[in-house]
Amino acid sequence: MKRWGRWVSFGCGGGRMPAVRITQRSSAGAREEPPLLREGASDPPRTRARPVTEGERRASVKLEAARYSYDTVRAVDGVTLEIEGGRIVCLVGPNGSGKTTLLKLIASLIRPSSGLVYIDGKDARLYSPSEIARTVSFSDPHLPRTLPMRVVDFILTSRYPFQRTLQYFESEDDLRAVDSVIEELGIAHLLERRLDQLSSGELQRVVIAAALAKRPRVLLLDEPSAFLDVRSRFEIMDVVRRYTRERRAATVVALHDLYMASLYCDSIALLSRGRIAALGAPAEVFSSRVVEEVYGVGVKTVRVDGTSLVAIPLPPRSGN
Amino acid sequence: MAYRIVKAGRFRLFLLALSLVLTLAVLTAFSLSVGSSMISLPEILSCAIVGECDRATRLVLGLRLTRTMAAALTGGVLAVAGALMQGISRNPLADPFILGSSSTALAALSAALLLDVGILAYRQLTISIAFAGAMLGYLLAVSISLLAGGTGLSLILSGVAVSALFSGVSHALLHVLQDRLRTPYVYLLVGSTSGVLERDPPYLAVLLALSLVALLALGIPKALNAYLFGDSYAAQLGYRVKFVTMASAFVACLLTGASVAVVGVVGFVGLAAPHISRMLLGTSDYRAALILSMLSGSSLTVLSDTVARAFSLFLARGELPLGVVTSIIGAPFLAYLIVTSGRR
Repeated sequence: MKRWGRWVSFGCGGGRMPAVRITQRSSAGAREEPPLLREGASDPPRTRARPVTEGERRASVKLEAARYSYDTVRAVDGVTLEIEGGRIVCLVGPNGSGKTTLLKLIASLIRPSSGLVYIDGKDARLYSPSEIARTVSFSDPHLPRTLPMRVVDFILTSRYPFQRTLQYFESEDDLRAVDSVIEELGIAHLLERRLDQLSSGELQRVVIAAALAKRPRVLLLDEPSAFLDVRSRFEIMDVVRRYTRERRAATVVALHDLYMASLYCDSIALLSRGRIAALGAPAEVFSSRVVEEVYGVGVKTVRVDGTSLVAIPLPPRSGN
Repeated sequence: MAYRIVKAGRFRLFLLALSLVLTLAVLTAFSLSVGSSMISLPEILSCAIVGECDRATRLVLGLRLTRTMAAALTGGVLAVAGALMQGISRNPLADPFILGSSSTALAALSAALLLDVGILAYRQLTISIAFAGAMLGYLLAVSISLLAGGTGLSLILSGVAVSALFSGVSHALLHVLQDRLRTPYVYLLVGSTSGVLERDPPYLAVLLALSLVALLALGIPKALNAYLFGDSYAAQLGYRVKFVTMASAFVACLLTGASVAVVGVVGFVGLAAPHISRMLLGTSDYRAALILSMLSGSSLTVLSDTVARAFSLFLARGELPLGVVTSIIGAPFLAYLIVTSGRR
């Protein structure tokens, strides 16, 4: 609790906060946080580093030789990776290469069978479940939707870690935090719909809204651009990037779309059978032969507008 | 936006709860007036508020009040149990009756009665035995369903199997026992308020109150909201999933056991009440659904009990059990749910 309090005081304006704040819940300070929505929402995707909010401490996530096996399958096999706040690290790789397992390891939903996960420099095992819940958001669009729940109910659940056990209803701050995310993602019209009545694209936006409503220091997204149309993909990734820069969050995104990855990721970790096959800036990773070997298809890199290098996978030649 | 929707939702919850309380009050008054000797509403009011009425009326009212209270509490208890079971199984068709907990509770109770009928005098004991039976039955249904792959359908099917087996077992046991029981043994099988004694409703009331306090203190309503979106979603919000499900199952089985021990197996209330609350609310938010389920469950059973009593006026053949009426109302409702959920 105390340790979290320290972060919180950073989160709500650093040194200006009196020391008493340490015992307060983070929801109490939500009002003073910088608004999520900033001007210039329609920046072109290639704009890089935005000015960083003062007083926001850089988040960090580190994996050290992390391993995890499902029964006999080694899903993650000795991954060492460092993710610093304010940057988007993308996990790419074929199906079953361990992307989701890696995200779950960082989210502490599963513990590594060997190796370590550090969040903000501290062993993840030393955090309490509620501390983790306030720090890390893991968004997974695979939600059971058997009992009817409205979109607004779902998004509000992500504020539960900030509420006391006996607190029955959301505080004003919770609602404000949720509202700013809803505005940014443009899902106000969906709020009163039931989750099972959403299209998969709408659901994707809602799931990301829920992840951001926590204002996490560590943001983990599993396939955020899947099911979305071209324009929505850019919009979502713009939101993610803006959030990452402004809050200096450590963001890890699992992506299948190499094109989106080359546009939005600051670095790329190419996974193959639970190991990191290549790590580096998109331009480096996508121009190397490794990516072609891992996927078994050719990848062509093209320079767009003379600046950003995008990756385009080529159809495999048959009979060869 | 969310702010407006949430504020409006709280107001709506207040209005709905208020109107359900009023409905329950009206139904209770109505239920007190109906019976082999009809008592007019003004008489009931003067008796209840001013305390002016003749001895006979007071006596009849006292007896009826016990029954009506038992019916209302049974409904509330089963509705909460049903809402909890639907939550922890994420299954809109789950309820203590369909998952077999009611039947195993009764089977456990009948087995205990076979050993010693005298335990009927100790309500705490019979409630504990029925609770143990309910818990075992729930675990049995869940285990069978997990063996069958743990899908929503397999849970319902294994519940039906458990339910059929143990209602057969309890029927057989009670059949053997029937000469030693004061009330017709069918009353326990289908649930009836006619055998309820004055000391019984307080047990249900206390257990219901304790359960609600426990659920609130453990933060179960919010935990269930998170749990509905999956184990890993709930875990990611810092909830201990096993604890949440076990605590909810414990409370649900305790309430089921209590209702079985006091009035017998009353079906379908636990299924229908949570759905009525969802229809009113448009969501399953457990913070609101638990309250509204409880109130609508109570209203439903008080109505059923009154119908049962009114019906027996024309039959002159003794009383129609409460569970029969709830089944007649509840089964078509179940069919409706199956059709609508299958169509989606």
